[in-house]
This record gives sequence, C-alpha cells and structure tokens, in this order.
Amino acid sequence: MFSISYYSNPSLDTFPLANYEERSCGGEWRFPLALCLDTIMKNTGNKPTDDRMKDFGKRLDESLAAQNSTDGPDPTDTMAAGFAMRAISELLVALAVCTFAGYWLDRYLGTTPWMMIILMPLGQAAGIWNVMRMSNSKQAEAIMGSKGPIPASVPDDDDED
Amino acid sequence: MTTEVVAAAAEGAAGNEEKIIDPIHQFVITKIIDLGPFSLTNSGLWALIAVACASLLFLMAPTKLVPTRLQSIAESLYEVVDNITHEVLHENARTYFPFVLTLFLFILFANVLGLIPYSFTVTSHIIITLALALVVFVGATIIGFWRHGFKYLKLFVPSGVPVMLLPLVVLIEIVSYFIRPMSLSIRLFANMMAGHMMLKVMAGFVVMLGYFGFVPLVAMVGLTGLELLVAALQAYVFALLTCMYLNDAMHVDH
Repeated sequence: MFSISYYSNPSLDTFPLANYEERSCGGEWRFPLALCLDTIMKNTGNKPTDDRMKDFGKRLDESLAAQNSTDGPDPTDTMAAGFAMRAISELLVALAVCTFAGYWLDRYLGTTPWMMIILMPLGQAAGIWNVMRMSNSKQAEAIMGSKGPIPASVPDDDDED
Repeated sequence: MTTEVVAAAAEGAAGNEEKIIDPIHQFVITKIIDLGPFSLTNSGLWALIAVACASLLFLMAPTKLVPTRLQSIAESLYEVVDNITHEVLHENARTYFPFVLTLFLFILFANVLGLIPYSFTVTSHIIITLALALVVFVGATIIGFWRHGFKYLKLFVPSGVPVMLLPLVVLIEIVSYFIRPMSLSIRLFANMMAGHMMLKVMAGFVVMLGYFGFVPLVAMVGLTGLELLVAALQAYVFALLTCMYLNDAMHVDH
C-alpha cells in the first residue's frame, strides 16, 4: 500500500564506482557509502577493478529485489487489515446509527418501541448488504484472489422466489 | 459544557484515588485566542498546523530526478492517492485527484500530528470528521444528480431483483446510502479517539505500577507503532471510500 515502488533503478551494468554513488544516493549519503565501500575493499584486498566488483550492480539489484519481495509487512496484509476493519465498522455503524435514529425518532414522535423495532433490523440488513457488496468488489478479489472464503463473483441466484 | 462534564468526571475519579488516569482530558477544547464565535481553539490551531505541514511538504520537496528523503515522502503520498484514484475512478481520476489528495493529506497529517505528546488530535472529534464526510456525501450526491438527473435514483433500484422483494431492497439501499457519511465519519473518529485513550490509559499504568512500569512502557512503544499504522490506514480508507462514492455517482448502473 505505502510501498515506494518508483525508486529509480539505474542499470548498473557499466560500473564506474564514483558514477554509481553519484546517481543512486546523492547528497549526504555519498560519504558514508564511499567510506563503507572503501573499508570493505581495504579489508578484503579488493580493488574497484577487481572482478568481484564487476557484477556488483547486478548483485545489488538481485539483493534489492529479494529484499523487496520478502522484507517488511506484505502490502496485501495491510490492505486486508484495512478491508477487514472497514467491513466490521460497516456492520456495527449501520446497526448503531439505525438503532439510535429509531430511539430518537420514538422519543420525538412518541411512538415508543415501533420506529426502533423497524429501523434496527433495517440497519442490520443494510450493514450486511454493504459487506456483501464489499466482498464482491474488485478490491476483495485483489486481496483474497479466487481462494477467498467467498468466491469473487457470487451469482444472484439465492433469492428463492 | 464539555469542560464541565470532564471536570465532573475528573472530580469523581479524584474522589477515591489521586488523579492519575484522565484519558478524556486530552480531548478538551480550549480557546487560545478569544474572538467570540471566531475564536482560535487548540483544535483549530492543530488543523492549521496540519494544513501547513502538508503544504510545506509539497512546497519544500525538491523536484530532483533522484529524490531526496523529503521528496520521497511527498512522492509516495502522491502515488498512494494516484493509485487509489486510478483504480477506482478510472477515466475520471484526473478530475477528482486534487480533492482526494487534499482530503487524504489533511486527515493523514491531523492523525499523525495527534500522536505527538501534548498535541491535539483534530480528527478525534466527530464534528470534524462528520463535516468532512458530509462534504463528500453531499458533493457526490450533487454530482450524481448533475450527471444523471433523476436517473440517479436508479442507484436505489438494483437490477435483477424480483418484484416481491423490491420494496424491501429499495428501503435497505436507501438506508445504506444515507448511512454512508455516518460510517465514514464514525470510523475515523472512533479509531482516533479509542487509540489515543488507550495510549493515555497505558501511560497512566506506567506511573501507577512504579518499578513494574516498564512493562506498559514497552507496550506503549508497540502501541504507538500500531497507532501510526491506524492513522495512515484510516486516512487511506477515507480517501478510498471517497473515490468509491464518487464512482457510484458517476456510474449509476452497477
């Protein structure tokens, strides 16, 4: 959901070290990265022209891709959490609002239990209706795929008239 | 009046114990500059700060090819809203993008700024969220009638429903349509208020438990992270539902 999917991915096939730093992390990050690479190279005895550095760009891309695919919370999980919270609040709010509206109307009109009795099940029905509509939406399909608890497209054949 | 109620509640709590946990106190509205009905309250001040922060983020972010951190934040927020509008509104995305982005940024910044200690959460008052939701609801309804005329009422009559059930279904559809601003506003307000009260109660436990106060303190760290997620998620959900309601106004035959 909040993934940063547009970090510019410079192709690093041609690898002059200084150029890579310039492009991928300008400004304040340049110095620490250069220092870090310098230390690594000193300790391992590798020079920038070493063949170990030749496919550095490719390896960096691979590790970044691996990191993006496994690390951190799955964006679909966050979306599913938001979806579930929406479904719950849809159910509860519809019922609560209709119940209070019925109660208030009763007090105002002096028809004591009746408006509440009519509006409460209507609110519950509206809540369930909304959740059913949500579960048939494209977003539900995107989150649950075809293996969700409710099939992505339920035909309207359950009216039984 | 709210202040009186809160003061009474605080007195009731202070009667038997010393006044440590007072999770409601953070929602009290106080006047900072008294100008009668146009007074600047703490709520208004933090709403202005939220607007200022959102504007500054987009004004100050440089537009380099390789983004700096500030620019990355602005771009990822932009992209979130861009994705929502394109997924939901399709060909109308460009038209309503500025509105949705404004709503999203205001709610996001109001939510997140509320997590700073001693700040005020603008969105923890239902009158604010209800006003935002009513803008969306009334706007979407007007757009619906403007685009479709009285054919917009077909929204309440879903196709393929047997005649016997039609009155009931229409009634349920009408109820669910008018509940939209309620659910939109109550969801945001309840999440914000409940989360902040929970944080304050936990913080009260830290003081009450003395040496064992580190246990709720550790929990507080996790809860603050959770609240950050909820703050972002609620802003996202509000923007998403705004787009869905606008889309319903565009396409009556669903």
